[in-house]
Amino acid sequence: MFLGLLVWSLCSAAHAAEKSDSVMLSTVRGSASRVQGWTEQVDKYRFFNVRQLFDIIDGGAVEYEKSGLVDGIVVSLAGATGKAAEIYIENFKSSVRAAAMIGIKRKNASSPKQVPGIKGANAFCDEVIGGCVAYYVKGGLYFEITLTGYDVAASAATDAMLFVDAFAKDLRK
Amino acid sequence: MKHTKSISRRNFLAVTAAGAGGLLAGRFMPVRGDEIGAGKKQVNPGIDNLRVVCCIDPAMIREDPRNWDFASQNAPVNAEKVRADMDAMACGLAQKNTPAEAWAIIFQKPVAKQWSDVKVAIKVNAFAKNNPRVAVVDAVCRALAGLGVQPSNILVYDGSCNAKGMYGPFIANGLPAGITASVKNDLLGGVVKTNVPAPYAGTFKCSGTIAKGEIDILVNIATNKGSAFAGMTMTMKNHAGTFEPMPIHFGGGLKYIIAFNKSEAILGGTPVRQQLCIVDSLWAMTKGPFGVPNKRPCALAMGTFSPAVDFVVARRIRETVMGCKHPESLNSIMSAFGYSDFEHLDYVKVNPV
Repeated sequence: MFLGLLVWSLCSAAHAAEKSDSVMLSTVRGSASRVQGWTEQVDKYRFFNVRQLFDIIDGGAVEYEKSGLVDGIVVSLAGATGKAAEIYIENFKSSVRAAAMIGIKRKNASSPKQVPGIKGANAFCDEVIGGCVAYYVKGGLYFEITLTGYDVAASAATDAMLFVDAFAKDLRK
Repeated sequence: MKHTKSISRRNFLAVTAAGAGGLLAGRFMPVRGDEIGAGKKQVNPGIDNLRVVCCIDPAMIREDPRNWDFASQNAPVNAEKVRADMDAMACGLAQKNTPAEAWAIIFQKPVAKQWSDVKVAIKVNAFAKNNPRVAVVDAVCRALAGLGVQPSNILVYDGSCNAKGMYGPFIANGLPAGITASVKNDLLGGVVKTNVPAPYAGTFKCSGTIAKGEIDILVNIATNKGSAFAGMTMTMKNHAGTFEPMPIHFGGGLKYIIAFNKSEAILGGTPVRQQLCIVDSLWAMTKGPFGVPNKRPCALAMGTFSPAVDFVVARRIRETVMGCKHPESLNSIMSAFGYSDFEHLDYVKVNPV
């Protein structure tokens, strides 16, 4: 009977942890959708585990797998005048692993810059043609926010700040 | 010692007479074929495997895209300029005076076939958001049509992705009417298992008609991106879309990429099946393979031998122009095919028309 209770409590704890992870990912999905001027393209939403990430981003998934990715979601949003946001929110279950992931990205970035208004090592952005990619960590969650459709990359970085701010606020609750 | 020659269509004859003989005789002496995987396989009897041409021309692009969906990537491309520059590159690659003569050297058909019966497959990269631009594919299709290849015998494919969804809307609208594009391998007879030699010998799934040798000419058009394997993904890794890609990520790595590029499916046939490899670096990515471009090299490069094209673009475009770095394993894409003394390999510069 004791063994049964032990197994039951371990399963419950695991289930609670999974439920907690799911709640976190749902929370940040909602955060993105509430940023003013952006509308989620619900048909593009996707949940993925590590193996499924290979289907989405091919060989790019290797570094996430090695860094301890557990699962994640992709949220796509449309903004005004053709702007587009694609946000990967990834659960590393550990703030140490999530921080290591952003460290890898910063080391490999072409020209890492501060996200306007966000200081410290837990966020930076890198320009791409037509926008930027912003990176952010909070606890065990790691965020990659690709913003395109901009004439000026600096405007994309400013919008990245809006998303990062939204995630930070909702995860503090 | 950097080894670059500059060629424009107008002064092609003079430069060729003065320089190309020196290039071929000194450094790039063609080696007649040994068995695939054991020695060096000569792709084209008239073109050195190590000859790679490159044209850098900002006029191929009118402006940068704001977004990276396929339509947005193609809208700002000056297709006429791309076609003219690729014709000049063909002249440079084949060392001929006219595009017609040049493309007739580059593309070879089986002796027993008429050009109207020749079957061509063009491997594109339909993954993510940096894809071979329509104008580049169109230039190849036009060259083939000029030889007599029927549009209905030209197939654009990516066995891992939906080339039809991506390129289909451009057929008769930037691409010749009558060509076809496949959803994964559905127009290539699905997949069959075929042999892949060392350094990762085994039996792996491959696009059916290519594995069976039913395609006469294979054209490989890749984009310029980074990756975890030798630091780049271009024409060699492009065939992770002819061959099943997952073994790369679960043990095979660069060895598997090298191995399937040595396969009978790619380097077999009489004439050799894969006859032209192109890297579209109009826009490019220092990292990857996922993401959107962050660089604008405005370059196209091509050659007959995939490892040479990738090596030259890696060193001379990705490093010199884009500021990338590559690991030592980049050298293995050449040494694995039997080449040494390739560190100073460079492209033949083709001036914009």
